[in-house]
Amino acid sequence: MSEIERYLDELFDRLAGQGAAGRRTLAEAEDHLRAAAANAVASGLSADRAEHDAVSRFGSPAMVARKMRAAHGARRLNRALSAGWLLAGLTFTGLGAAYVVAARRLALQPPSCTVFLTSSCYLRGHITSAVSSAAIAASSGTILLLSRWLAVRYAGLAPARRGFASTSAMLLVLTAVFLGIMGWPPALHILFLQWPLSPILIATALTECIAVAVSLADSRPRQHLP
Amino acid sequence: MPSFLGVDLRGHLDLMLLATLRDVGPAHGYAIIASLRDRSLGAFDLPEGTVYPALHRLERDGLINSEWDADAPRRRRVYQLTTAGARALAAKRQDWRDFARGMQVILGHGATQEYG
Repeated sequence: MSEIERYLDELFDRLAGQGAAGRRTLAEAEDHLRAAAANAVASGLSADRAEHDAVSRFGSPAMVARKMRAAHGARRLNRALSAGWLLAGLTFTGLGAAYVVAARRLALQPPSCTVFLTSSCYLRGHITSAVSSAAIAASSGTILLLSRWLAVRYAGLAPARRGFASTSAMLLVLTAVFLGIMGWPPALHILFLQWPLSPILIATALTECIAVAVSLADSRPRQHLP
Repeated sequence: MPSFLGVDLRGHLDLMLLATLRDVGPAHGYAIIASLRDRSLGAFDLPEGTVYPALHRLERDGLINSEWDADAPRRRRVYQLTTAGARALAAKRQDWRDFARGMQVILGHGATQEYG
């Protein structure tokens, strides 16, 4: 086995886990090393010596793999930030949906006191509170989603993976609506007073963690080699 | 550590790669490195494998783009400067000139006489 072949084998091992970026790096390294060796042979060196020089000048496989991982690591951070931003926007939008469901539920049912609702249990006040909370949450979600879109468009923020936004949106809205139907109207004062015990906060935080983890795991560039 | 005439190159590699792509036009990694070495009269001392992560990073930032060369005998990625890359290069060149001018002032007239 030639020295270039041995080098590429080791580089292949070191690039494990880097997906398409790793495959591309391997292809570029092979082209580079073979071109360098061919040029050296053309200038009079023996084939063995030419391969040895080409490999020596390229740097160790560990160093190349480490730098390549670092080069694409920032991309992962960018994607994580993008995913978190998106999910924050969707979470607020989902909260808006939960407030709407809660308001509708309150409108349909006679007033009753729950652990979440404070002393007066005045139905109209709770409906008004839920509607205004829905407006605040929906507005916040819209602002977050709009600002993220602008950041993707003009500031280099990574776009979401195909299907990620729609899946996350569906999951979060369903969770929020479910919580609203189950009688946990996420009144803003509850979110603050009972944090971190509020069920909706825990549910949305867990959902966000799972979604960000999925985004990170799926963050390798899907650049198919022709 | 990559160096040029004993000076640490970290932080300047991006600028040199952008400048090379501006001057030579679309080129693959090996040609870019060969051009850097030729233009520095062989003084450019860099583990060649470090250029590719830098190229990937520049592409990620939108300063260059690349595509596989269908006509090459082996799989070969060809890089070229983007409009954003050309703008970044112009800005970095000005920064570098300001830095060099400042160093010249700090090092003083003696350095000017000694190194020309």
